[in-house]
Amino acid sequence: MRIVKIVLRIFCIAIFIFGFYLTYILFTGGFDSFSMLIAVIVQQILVYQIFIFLATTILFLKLINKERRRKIYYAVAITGLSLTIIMSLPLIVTPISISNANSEFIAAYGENWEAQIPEEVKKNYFLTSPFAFGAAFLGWPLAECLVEKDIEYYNDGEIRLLFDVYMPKEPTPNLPGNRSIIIMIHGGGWATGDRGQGLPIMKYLAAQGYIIFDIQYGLIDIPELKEYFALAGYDEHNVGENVTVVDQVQHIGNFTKKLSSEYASTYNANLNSVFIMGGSAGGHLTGVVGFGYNEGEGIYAEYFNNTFANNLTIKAIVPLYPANSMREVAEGLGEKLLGVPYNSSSNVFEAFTPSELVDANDPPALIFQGMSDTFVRPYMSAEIETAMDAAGVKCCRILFPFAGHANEMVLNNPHGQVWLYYLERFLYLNQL
Amino acid sequence: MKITKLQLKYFCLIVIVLNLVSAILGVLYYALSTTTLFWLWNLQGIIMFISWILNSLLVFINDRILMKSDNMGKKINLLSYGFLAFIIFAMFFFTIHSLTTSFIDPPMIITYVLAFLALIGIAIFGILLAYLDIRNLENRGVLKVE
Repeated sequence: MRIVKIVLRIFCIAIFIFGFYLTYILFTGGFDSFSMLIAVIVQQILVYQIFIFLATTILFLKLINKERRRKIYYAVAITGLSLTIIMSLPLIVTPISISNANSEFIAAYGENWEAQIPEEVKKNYFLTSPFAFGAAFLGWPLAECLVEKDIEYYNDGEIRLLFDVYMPKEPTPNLPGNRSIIIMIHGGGWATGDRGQGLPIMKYLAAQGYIIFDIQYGLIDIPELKEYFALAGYDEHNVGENVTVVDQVQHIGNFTKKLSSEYASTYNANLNSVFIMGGSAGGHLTGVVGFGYNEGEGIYAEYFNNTFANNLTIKAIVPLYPANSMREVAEGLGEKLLGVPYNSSSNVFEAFTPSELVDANDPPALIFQGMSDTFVRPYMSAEIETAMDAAGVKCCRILFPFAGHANEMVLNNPHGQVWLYYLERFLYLNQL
Repeated sequence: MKITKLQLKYFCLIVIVLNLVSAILGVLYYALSTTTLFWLWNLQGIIMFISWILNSLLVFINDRILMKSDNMGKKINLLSYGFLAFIIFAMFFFTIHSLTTSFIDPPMIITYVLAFLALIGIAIFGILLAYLDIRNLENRGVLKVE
């Protein structure tokens, strides 16, 4: 019995030490590369830690003789309860995220923005509140939809690119998505990653009547990044020795051409209502494609002329935690990113920096930004927002306190739920 | 602070009712698996959250008032340890379920089963602990209450 108690005490101390580490991650997003990676997952599952720390605290207290070790008893009680409260912070600040989102929507769509969405749509198809406690703990109820996988859209002998398509289960005519197209661009530091990121969101939106094309693009050959983001996985057929971000945009452009000529009719998708969405590096590419779509006549025409199909109507873009300045990114990742060193005089860096491409004819944007994101710092999306504001284009940038990188992926977490509530409304408002 | 029999009795009754409602609504949540009843899932979640906090509080209170030298006291104490271990495992099950449904397609049925068992298990532990307290309220050899 004595040994069991010693083992339990060691277990409690280990959990407390882990709690201190989680606290460091929660407040800083992690400064070292390992912690930054851990933060992506851990910050999304903190609600469960509330009860792990509460139970551990009570367990630890049960193992201490209060009369004989009064000081230790209270020290454990205070430490344990503090850790429990710290783990509750993402839950506690949810009203702040909701308030941030609401302010952004009011600024973009007016005080009565929600009244622009028919009641029957909100009642029958949309989330009725930005947050549900039950979902936060019990997991997200996945929507049902049709999925077709591994359809090839590009093959030049060296690189082969596939896409998956998510569609509503039944061709119900009155679904709020109206068969609008969403092109999903995955993240992974331009060098890794694959389709399937944001799976519950894609299923949810497909069930609402959107046709979602989750596409691959060529990956830059940066071995260190592939190793670092090993968890993200990647398709080795996508990696090209000379691929740069310019090629990646060309690949996405090729997809839009095939979409226009073939896939829109195959999947009965609406070319007059197209959205581009993606996170991280995919968020950056979303910005470049969305703002570069009409750039054929602009100062960066040399990079965008004939890149995209010309009969798409891009209604809005949804970059999540997007990278922005390519010159700055290239300083860290090297010249493989755009084929030239970051200090070169080439304007290619500016041509592939979303905020540089913004003009008054560009589509509105909805941006997800975790305030503790250490992979893509919040100032990057702030630069995009500033450029959009200056051009007079609507931009809703929702800031999520205590959220890190890719923190909407575990959709039932508080950030994910709030994000989905405003995302479905944003898409609907911009279809109108 | 001393606890009276009546206070403990009402506290335990609240624990039993909240755990029952939380478990029933939780089963409904998994059975219906829809986002259209979000208001109900909010209510379910709040009740569940409170019931889990109260279950933990009951274990803490029991630790203060249980006569651990008594046979029944020992059993309740052991059950309390069981509850604390179970709720930690349950949170791991919920975590795994959340992660797999977010990243793996098609979803893994086993994680649904684990999450479901976690939900029901916590409720059963809570109800059992509260029921044993109520049953032993008059037994001064088991509980030190006024």
